[in-house]
Amino acid sequence: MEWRLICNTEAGVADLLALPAAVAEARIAGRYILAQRSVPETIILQRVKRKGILAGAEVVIDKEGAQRKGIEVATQPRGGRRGARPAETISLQELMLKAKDKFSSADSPPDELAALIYTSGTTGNPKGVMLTHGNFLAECEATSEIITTTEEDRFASLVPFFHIYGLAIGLVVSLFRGCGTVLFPQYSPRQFLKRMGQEKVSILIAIPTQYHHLLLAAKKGLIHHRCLKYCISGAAPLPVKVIQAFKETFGVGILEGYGLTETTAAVAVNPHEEAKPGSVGKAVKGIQIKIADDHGNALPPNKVGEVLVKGEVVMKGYYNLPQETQEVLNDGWLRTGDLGYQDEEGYFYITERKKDIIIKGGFNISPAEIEELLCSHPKVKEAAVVGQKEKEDREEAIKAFVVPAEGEELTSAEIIGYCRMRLASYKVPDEVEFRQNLPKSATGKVLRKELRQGYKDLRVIERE
Amino acid sequence: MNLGRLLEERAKKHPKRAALLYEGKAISFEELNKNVNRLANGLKDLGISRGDRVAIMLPNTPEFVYSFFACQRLGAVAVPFNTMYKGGEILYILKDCGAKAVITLNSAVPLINEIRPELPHLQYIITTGERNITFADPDSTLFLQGVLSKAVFRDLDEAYSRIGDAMVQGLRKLGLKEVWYKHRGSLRIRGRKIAGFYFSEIEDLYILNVICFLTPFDPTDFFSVIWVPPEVKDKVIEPLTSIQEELGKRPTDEEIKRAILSALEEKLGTKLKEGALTRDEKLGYEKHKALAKRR
Repeated sequence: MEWRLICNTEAGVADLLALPAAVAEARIAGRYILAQRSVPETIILQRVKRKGILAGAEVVIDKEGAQRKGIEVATQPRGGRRGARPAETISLQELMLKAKDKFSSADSPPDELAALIYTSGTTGNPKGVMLTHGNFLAECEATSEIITTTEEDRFASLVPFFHIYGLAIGLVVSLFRGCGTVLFPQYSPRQFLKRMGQEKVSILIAIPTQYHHLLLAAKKGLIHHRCLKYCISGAAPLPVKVIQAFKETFGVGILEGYGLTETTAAVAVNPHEEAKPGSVGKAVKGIQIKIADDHGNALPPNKVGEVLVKGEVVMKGYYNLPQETQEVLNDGWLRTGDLGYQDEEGYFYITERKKDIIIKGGFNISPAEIEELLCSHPKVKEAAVVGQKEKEDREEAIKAFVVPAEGEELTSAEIIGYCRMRLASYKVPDEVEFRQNLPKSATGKVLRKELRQGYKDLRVIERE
Repeated sequence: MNLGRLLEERAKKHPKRAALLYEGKAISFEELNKNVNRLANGLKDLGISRGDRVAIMLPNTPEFVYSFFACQRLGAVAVPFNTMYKGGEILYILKDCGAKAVITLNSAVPLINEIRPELPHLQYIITTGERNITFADPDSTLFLQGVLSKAVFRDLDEAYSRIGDAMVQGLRKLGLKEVWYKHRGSLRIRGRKIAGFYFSEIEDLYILNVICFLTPFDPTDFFSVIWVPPEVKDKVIEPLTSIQEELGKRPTDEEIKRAILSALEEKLGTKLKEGALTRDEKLGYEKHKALAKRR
């Protein structure tokens, strides 16, 4: 059987869309007009004359910039009901279009699962944190004294909703309060500063890096409005310097919170007026926090111990992991694995995060996961991964220590390329150092701490 | 009170107040509530019921909010996860939670397709969003497209495997001995992508789109004029290779064309004959081209 071949080696970028679309359209129409000769199976070979971008309707493009660079731009049509769509998938819009707009809610009791949020622990694989309807509603209650809102207030979450902090505070709390939420699917500091004023954002949910970027953008003279009432920071320690600079520029302080996926986000927040620098504040409404020794006994003020949390926000457990759940949940108390102390006034200070977890861009990264991957490289004998900060304002960087296999030559580029192919970009090591061996404990465990030697751990908040 | 009821009550209390503000538009609590109901009904019609896990891999769009609350309304369990995740990471989560459906962007479909055979629980890929990006470069990219009747293939799996085989054979003919192809995935050499393809469908047609890299692809210029959402950028900067890099030379246009097209003819059992657009097609072509440039 003969098929038609169409060669177009001098194409414009729009041809990538227009040629197949025209052929498809004619074939479909042909079936309805019996007189017309049917269009044959068609193969199209195309090369473009100039650089070009074919973009979906929701992709934001700097058209002037494109013109300056000599890049042609073509836009795809919105995939309406009649457009082509990825084979064997269902369109969400179509699913909604055909359905009724009335639905009576399931009568889920408070302890029924609402969400599973995967989080990286100290051991390799992510664990599914089971959060219930009651957990989310308790978090709404817990933040009620920290953020007071009126119907005029508008939330904006720069934190993705797939992150517990974005989901529980940025989305659920805002709707619980009956406030509007401004959505930013593609966050850029520039764009946010512009829209912040237009949409009258008064409550901002973001992570330290983002506050830092907003500051830099504001310093470049980008317009900003003094509409912010509350700024919340979480997911990673916030440098005191950033809080001060932010207040000077935006006229509002940043409330630093402390919480975990396992606690449906915040359990402690530094109060607005009586904030203590370096502290994560006091336990919020309905939450108990205690600093305990290894046996779970409360320690007196200023003694460092493990941070334990109790309250309605504490997860139901880890999905399908009864053993791991039992290890952290006891009598309603959650062992966070974080170390800290409490002062005489009930303010909490976190001195060390869950052992070796790396926090980058607000995400928890398990060194074990990266190490495991590194060790799967045929030329790698062993590897260890640590997080490091060179400057307070900087994000934590991932450093990999690699011991090459006997007689093998390896380069950083090889290692980084290997990771890039197999890991999300934020997990890819920023730096690779080659070693003859790794420091180990008597039981053969790699001592990551020693690898960090020489790097002052700036996440630790020094007591004055 | 539960999360499903929460929105119902807010919608009753202040129906007209803006709940979501997105791209200059406001979606009121009443509208939000209705949209959540629509999606809940849609998911229910697919057989999603109480306790089922529904994965959500979306950025902060209204569709994320509909998806999350539709799950709550059904008593299903929402499993939101990072839009930057890649193959193995997505696989782990979808497998561990046993998701029956995943709601994601159109642009993430190839990523999920590649791991789908390992996910027996996953029944539905539900997609939204218009965030695809194709970069075209005069030196580096070659596009092979097809408008083919679905009847040419037994099913979509066969369509993917035959086109995959044809592309592998075509590149091998050029001397790229190490090229390999996995189910519904990309063609790779030592893990790096040298070509990729996907099928779309419209009525009883498959639309095939193959991109193949002839010379090293440099995205720098493109990134300077486009604000790329993280989840897309991550895909774009996926490690690439090209025919020139692998062979140490660039075969002529004619050699490349002949190798790929003859492999296609062999694997699809057909003869390709160069032709032109019909009059009707030409009219349609002009229309589509104008629209693509105007938007």
